[in-house]
Amino acid sequence: MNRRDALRAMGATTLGLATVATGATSMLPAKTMLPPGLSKKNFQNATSAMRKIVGNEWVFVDETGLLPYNKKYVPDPDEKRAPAGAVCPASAEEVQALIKLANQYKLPLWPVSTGKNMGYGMATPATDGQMILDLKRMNKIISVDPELCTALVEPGVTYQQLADYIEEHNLPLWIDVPTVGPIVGPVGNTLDRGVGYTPYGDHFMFQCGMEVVLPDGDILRTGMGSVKNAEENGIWQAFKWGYGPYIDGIFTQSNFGVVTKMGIWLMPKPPAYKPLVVRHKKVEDVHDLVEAMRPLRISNVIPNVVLMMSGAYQLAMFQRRDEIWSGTESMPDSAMLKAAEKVGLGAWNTYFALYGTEESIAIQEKIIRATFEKTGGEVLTENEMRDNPYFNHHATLMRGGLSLEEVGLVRWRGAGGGLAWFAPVASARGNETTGQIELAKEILAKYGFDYTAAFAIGWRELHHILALLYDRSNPQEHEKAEKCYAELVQRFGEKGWAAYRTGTNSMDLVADQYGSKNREFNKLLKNAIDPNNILAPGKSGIL
Amino acid sequence: MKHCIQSLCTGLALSFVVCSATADKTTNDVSTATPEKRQAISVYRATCSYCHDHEGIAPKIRGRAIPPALTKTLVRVGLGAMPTFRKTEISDEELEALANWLSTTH
Repeated sequence: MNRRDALRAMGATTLGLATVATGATSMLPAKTMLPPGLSKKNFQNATSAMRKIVGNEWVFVDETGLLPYNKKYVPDPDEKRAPAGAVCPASAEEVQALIKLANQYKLPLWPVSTGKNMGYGMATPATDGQMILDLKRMNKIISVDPELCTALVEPGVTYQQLADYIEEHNLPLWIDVPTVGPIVGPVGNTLDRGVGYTPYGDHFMFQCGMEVVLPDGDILRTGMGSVKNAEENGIWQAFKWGYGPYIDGIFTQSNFGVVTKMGIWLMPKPPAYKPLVVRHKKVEDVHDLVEAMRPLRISNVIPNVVLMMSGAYQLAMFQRRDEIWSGTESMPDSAMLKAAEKVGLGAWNTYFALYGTEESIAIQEKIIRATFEKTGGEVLTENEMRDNPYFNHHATLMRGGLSLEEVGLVRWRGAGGGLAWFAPVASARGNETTGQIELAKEILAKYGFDYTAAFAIGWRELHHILALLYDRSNPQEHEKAEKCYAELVQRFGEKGWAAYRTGTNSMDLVADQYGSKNREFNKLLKNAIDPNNILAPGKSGIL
Repeated sequence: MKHCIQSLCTGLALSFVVCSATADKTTNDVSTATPEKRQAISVYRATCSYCHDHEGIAPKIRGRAIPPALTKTLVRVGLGAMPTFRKTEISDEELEALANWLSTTH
């Protein structure tokens, strides 16, 4: 039964719908898996002990209770990554107790904060049989300092919660959000080294201080956090580096601890804000576009993370593929360009914004217009694009506004919902774009998928963000998506273009692109910090 | 409540003062968590509305007399493109209220 059928059924009788509802559940059985090396009896003993820590209602090992934890958009046709169960602590003390228990039983725990990283695996673990450590109940905004413009939050806090708090208290502060901001949060996104689109878009750069429960159950505070009165006087969230080796980085994209508090910096709301887009008509214009953008970005004339969106990526947000192209082969550029033009888009649509005063923005805009007009781009503002939904989407993101419009991407090829992000990085040079686009299109064409992609310039680097969109309810397409993704990782890796982040379906494969020495070093750290390997085995390929 | 914010613009290292009123640090130690039980309309606004009130993202669900049993199942199962929502995100009690409210919307 697909979603459309379910929605059609909404017109049926209550009795009929009850059957539909039951049927929907049975169509998607939750797969559970015992932790490797743990007997059923010991697993039952471990979960009984967990119930005493968090309460009976916050441990899930039954199929129905685990259904929401099994949802994924990334390809995994053999359903190889099934959890053993889920446990949901409400405090750092409960996390400590659970970790001690996990050591006792050698039960692996897979921590998630909000578990909504749609194209990277949601809440599912990298290997079978892990107990999901669901931190969503830890959802306190511990402090917001309006003078230092900082916040200290728990892992279950969503960007929606933080935005609501700032609005309720009328604080002149902005948050910085990823594209699914309302349902995800700053701790999980920062730990995965995710990005947003204001000048505070590199989230790990704007993180300051962590509280971490280590694999032995002890608590560590990073940066200034272990100094007397550091939380009360604000220094924990004001100075990142502390003293000695800087260790916050080893708790990102890793499995060395469970972060239970994190400090973040908030951007002061600027007196003036102006979103812009540069529209380029030809696919090959991206080379000159990157060359023009690099100096503006490095010198901070353009201060935020810049997105260069292909027409196809943009179209996929609000339209379905069969409205534009009915072929089984990849959608050709000609079809994309025709559809893009109809809705006011170009082959590339480059979004950035200016923040400051009216006067400072006027000076910056003059420089920017002169630069991009030489590349053949049209520089457009709200004056021309006020009613364009694509422009408004990015205008919202670039001021830290909340949106779920990009969820529309997962329906591009049907209601089955398939998405995997592939995000290789390169230096911000125009000639890096050409080869990457050619290679991506060649691989996608082999499997009949479309080039729905964007480039982002953080500062000196170029992220190529490919949305591998497929229909997960179609078994053949699902299998092709898995093969296609693996080929993208491997063949881009051969050229020196490795992903900066990946989903639970491909962590080992991406780790391979960084070489054996790096993997050995991570393993050395893992063995020293977590000798029982009870935290998230397989995260970033670290076992 | 007035707040003093001295902000530093990262673009062109432009410094500016947004306001210069007396500081009030009462937002420290706010301990603000999602309330134990939210109203149906609050859950809808923070979770469902972003997609289901937006043309081209997901189907309309208000005013369609959706039976509560179906809403409750779809929220937990996340059929097709729809994400799932766990009990830690939307409690059973909140989901019951949301499903009942949704079934009566116009």
